[in-house]
Amino acid sequence: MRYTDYCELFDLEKAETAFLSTYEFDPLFFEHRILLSKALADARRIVVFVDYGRYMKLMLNDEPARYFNQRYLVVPIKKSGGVFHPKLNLLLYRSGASIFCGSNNLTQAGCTHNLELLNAIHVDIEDGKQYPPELKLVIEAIEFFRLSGDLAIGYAGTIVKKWIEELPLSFHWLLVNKKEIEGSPKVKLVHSFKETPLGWFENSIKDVMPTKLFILSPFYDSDLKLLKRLNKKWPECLIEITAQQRTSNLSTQSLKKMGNKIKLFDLVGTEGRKLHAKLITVTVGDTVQNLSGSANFTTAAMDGINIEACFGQEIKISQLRKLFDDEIQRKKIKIEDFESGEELPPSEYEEESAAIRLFSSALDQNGRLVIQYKVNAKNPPESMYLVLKRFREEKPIRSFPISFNNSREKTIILDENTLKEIQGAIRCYLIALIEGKRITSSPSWLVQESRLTYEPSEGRGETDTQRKITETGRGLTEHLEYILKNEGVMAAIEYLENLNIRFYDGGTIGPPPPPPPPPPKSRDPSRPDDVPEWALELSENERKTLEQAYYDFADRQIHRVLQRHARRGNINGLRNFLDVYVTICKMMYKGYKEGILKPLYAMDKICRCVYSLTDGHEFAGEELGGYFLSILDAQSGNMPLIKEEFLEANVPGHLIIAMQMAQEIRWKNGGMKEVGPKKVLPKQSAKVNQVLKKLEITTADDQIEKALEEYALFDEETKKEWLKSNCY
Amino acid sequence: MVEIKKKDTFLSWSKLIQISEGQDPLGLNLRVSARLSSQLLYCITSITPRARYYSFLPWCIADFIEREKGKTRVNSLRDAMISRESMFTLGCIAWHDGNTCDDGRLVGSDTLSPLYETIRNRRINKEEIKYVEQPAIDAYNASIAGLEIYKLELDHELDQDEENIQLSFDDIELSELGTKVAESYRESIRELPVIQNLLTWKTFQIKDISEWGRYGGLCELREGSPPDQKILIDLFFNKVNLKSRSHEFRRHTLALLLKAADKMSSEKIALNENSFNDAVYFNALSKPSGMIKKYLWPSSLEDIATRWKMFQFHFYLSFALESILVTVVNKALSCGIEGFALDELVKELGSRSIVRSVEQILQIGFDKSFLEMTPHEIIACSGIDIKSADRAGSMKLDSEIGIKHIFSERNLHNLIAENALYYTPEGIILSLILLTVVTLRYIKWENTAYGNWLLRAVDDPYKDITVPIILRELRGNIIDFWNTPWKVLAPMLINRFVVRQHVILALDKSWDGSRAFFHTDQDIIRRRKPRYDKPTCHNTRFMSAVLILKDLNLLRSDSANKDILKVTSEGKAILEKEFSQ
Repeated sequence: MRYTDYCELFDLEKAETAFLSTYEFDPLFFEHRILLSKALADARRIVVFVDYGRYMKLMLNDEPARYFNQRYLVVPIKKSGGVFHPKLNLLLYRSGASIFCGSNNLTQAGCTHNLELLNAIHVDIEDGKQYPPELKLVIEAIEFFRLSGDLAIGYAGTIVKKWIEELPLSFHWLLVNKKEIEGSPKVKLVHSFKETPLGWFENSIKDVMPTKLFILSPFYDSDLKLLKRLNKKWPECLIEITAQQRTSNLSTQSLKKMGNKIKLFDLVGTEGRKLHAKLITVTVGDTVQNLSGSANFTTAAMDGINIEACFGQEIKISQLRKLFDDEIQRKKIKIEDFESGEELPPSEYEEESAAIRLFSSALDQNGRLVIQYKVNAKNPPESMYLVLKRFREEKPIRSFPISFNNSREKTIILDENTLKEIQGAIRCYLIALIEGKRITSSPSWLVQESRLTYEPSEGRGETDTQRKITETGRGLTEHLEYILKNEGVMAAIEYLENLNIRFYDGGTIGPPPPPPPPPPKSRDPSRPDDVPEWALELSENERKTLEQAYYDFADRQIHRVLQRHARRGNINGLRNFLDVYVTICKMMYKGYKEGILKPLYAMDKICRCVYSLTDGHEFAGEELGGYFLSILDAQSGNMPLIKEEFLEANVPGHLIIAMQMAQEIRWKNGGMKEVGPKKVLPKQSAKVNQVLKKLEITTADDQIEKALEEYALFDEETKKEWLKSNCY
Repeated sequence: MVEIKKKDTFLSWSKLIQISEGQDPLGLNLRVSARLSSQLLYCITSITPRARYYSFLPWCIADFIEREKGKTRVNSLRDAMISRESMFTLGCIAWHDGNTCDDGRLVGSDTLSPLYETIRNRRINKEEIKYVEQPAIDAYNASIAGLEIYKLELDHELDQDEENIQLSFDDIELSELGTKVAESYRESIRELPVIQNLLTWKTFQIKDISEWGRYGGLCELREGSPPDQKILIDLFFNKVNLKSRSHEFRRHTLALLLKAADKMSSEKIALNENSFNDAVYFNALSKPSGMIKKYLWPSSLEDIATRWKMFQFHFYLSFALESILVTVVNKALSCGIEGFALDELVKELGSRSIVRSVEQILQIGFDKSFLEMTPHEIIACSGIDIKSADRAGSMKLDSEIGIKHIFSERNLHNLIAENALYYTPEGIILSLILLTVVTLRYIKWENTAYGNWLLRAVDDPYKDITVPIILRELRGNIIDFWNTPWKVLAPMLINRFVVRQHVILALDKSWDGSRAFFHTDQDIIRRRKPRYDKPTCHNTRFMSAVLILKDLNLLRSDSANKDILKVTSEGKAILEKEFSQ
């Protein structure tokens, strides 16, 4: 049986727009992992639809989410009588889409630990060619999200509906009439707005009595109402239930009374993972109709009380068997031996009786701040304020008095100064004095409409530059300089905090990386009299914050790109590795020269790049893997291949230049001046020499020159000097 | 290049992301605590406890430069240092007839001691003793650099985060100060044949090398007045006028320890982490008989003692939170795959049997269920009525809840630690009380220079938790936490500062959060890591500082009771000088 890393589904291709839905949402995990994925890192618009009850619960936790409603829009959906429970995700690319429809929520448990069932379909649209039938699924998924938007609470729903209307402007192929698309898609998207999951089964099998009903589900009605109903409806049908002891809430008492048509199986080999997968199949003759996605085997899910989304398809029995043919197996168990779990299926949220509630806060594109709130106190508040707080800051940036007049909505026009203050994720609170007591509402993340559409090119040069930077890192230092000069230090810090260079190793799907663009020209930072003006104007505090942003950016790229390559050892990722490697080294060297970075730190980051490219390093409890070592392992020591690839990518040249930079920094800051820079950092040099020796590579001037060209930092004189000082 | 095509996936099980190992699960030790102690004991870390390495290692560099550099085939300083260190370790062991130096921490001795018997009676080839795989310089390098023994031209103080920086020592030159230090060590061993023939001897006998241990060993620095002793004292007590403020903090801390030892030895009290904590946090000396004696620090040491008090605030807070974490992790373990809801755990705290058990532990009666009570009411059960969590309340708590009080931080800490209550709801109740007591006691320090100093150790309030951060969030969320029932406070505190804090830190350390001991899903906490046994927070640099003072012959164990540390006459002279300043 194949296992799929859910998060890696987001690493396949860069998306322009993403609609994601989940019952439970963990913004921390989302921001740390999924938002940084290739699909979402540069997506123009990202929407996460979340169940309203879970959203309200989330508000109570003071989550340190940095991009909530600023980089991605979270839309709470309220389904009266039930819950919003789908796990349907749609990624729209320039010429295609991916649809994921599984059982996992967007939480750490759902994405990395629980036992979930995943489905993913990829649709490629090629101009001039017939549209694939799966385009119908894309259109249906969009319709699903549009209908979900109708149930949204607050201004987020208005935004999302507007965005959905605008989709054809970016994706012209969405204008096609569904009826004009020929053929049937591989699967059917079954969602509660269209038909109930149970209704889909009934339509699929018409009036034929199924021979077998297979159920894999973590949750059931506490009285097994649905099961009893189907047992009665299909009395001859064999029912196989696969559940997990101690987690699935399967009432064995009720089950025992249902006769001998029921067989119960326990899951084994799950390595302590909680079963959260949902799969229901109905067998009629030789065909098996299956439904897998978000729907548990409960009345609320199957009868459409909840909002659910599943893929429905006809499969072969062998496909079903494959699920249990490896580590994960099912074992028949007597009903009386089954130990039921106590966790109950999701149910409708009961509003808590807080004295004041802030449901929604949004800042529209015209600078109008709209809040929706409710006061539940017997007496009206003596005073009430809306306060706005920035991420990480203790004190509010602004407070606004709210006059209480039974209204549940209030609009405040923000002045230009206040608008400037709104940076990063903002939390809004209502603070009221009621009967002499100060009461604070749970927070609401401010929806910042104008920031939610991510236009990398806005005000920062050309789109192409931005694209190149996120694809390869090339041009970053120059672009950063542009921002520092023209938009100021805070904008540069924000830019660095949000920037991630993409990971690519050829083992992932998507087009191969573009060839390195010609390097932009830059002034030679090795000239000491050339410290830029903006650097001289920085206050100490600004310099420190900017400095930290440089380090954080470097650490993040080392962690998420270089070290990932070092773990995977896929030689196809060499180009991407070197792009990021060059970007970090160049940034550190230039930052040091400009007086922003401390020499030891700048040198350390460069050395970390060298460690990551060679054989790694271990220090102070931190372990860095080495890409060369892992490639060696992955290629079983196939030296000719590795040598060829390393020479083609000019690894020797890049190793030497990085070492020259680090050595120069080190030498000028307390190294052994009488021996010259080439003798300092011998341990790191030994690592470089070891790689060169193993591959039997002798370095040549042209390699160094070529690498120097890629840095685009140095004038001819410096280049000559560095060529001369090569000691490798 | 291999191009893999996008593949549709149907009915595929999700992949399990395996847990990866990590330490400091709440970030309480490696973040705030380390930042504080790296100022208070700058350049004395948990792994640099022996003073002699501070002169021996510079000597290695100087000796290499003088005798080997450019003259022999050994062209790496690191190799040269490892070679000297190996001989040095063997010399120390030989001088102690196969044992390590007093107080240990002789790098490489674990490997060599067992071999000693096999080589003691024969000629030894120098090549045989290359056993120091992780040489002392790796541990001491950053500390030595911080003491400006190298020509580094540091433009800033090395902070604890910088210990991760690879200060490469292969390219190091000694500063003027470093040269003096190296020279002083050379003075101790200059005449020894083993030193004179260090580069030429290919083989030698144990007796040849034991002289090195005799005159240049770790604990031998304490004997008589070896030439490097004075300069090392000057170095640690910053008589060499190093500019950074942390050098002064270290100097004052060492003086504080000397003063503490002096006072405690006169009361027959052992100077250790606990007694030191009591002295700085409660201004109390706890005698073996159980009697408590009030102790006020001399005015010249008040500043540093108060900084250590701030450190101790953070320690008690860390202990409380880590104890709760232990319970949460183990509860998740015992619940297995079912996991548990935090509400369930909190509910347990209200059970009559648990409350009865806590009453027994504290030997006090509660009026009602723990969850229905407020921190105010809990403390009131001991007869102390502190109405509000403000400065007045803080002053009252500080004056009435002394070291011996049942609700004192020390008592609560000891009750949890000594009875290993980490795994129990009783442990959580005591930890929660400890947390509120420490928070209220801190209020009187809020907005003072010392309170702000503690707050400045916080870089990121979402990752760095310490008392003022707890206070800030309590006020932000609950307003009057002191008069709020535990049924409201407990879930908020445990969720934010233990459960979410752990998840935040795990995500910070690994992007998929694979370092998390547990995960939360729809309010259910489920285990990922099998065990987390007990809180790991403590003052990691304390014992190193004491050992340094012993090595410098300023402290000495009492001959009748080794646990009691007496100040030597040299130590007293230093103290006198400190006070006269």
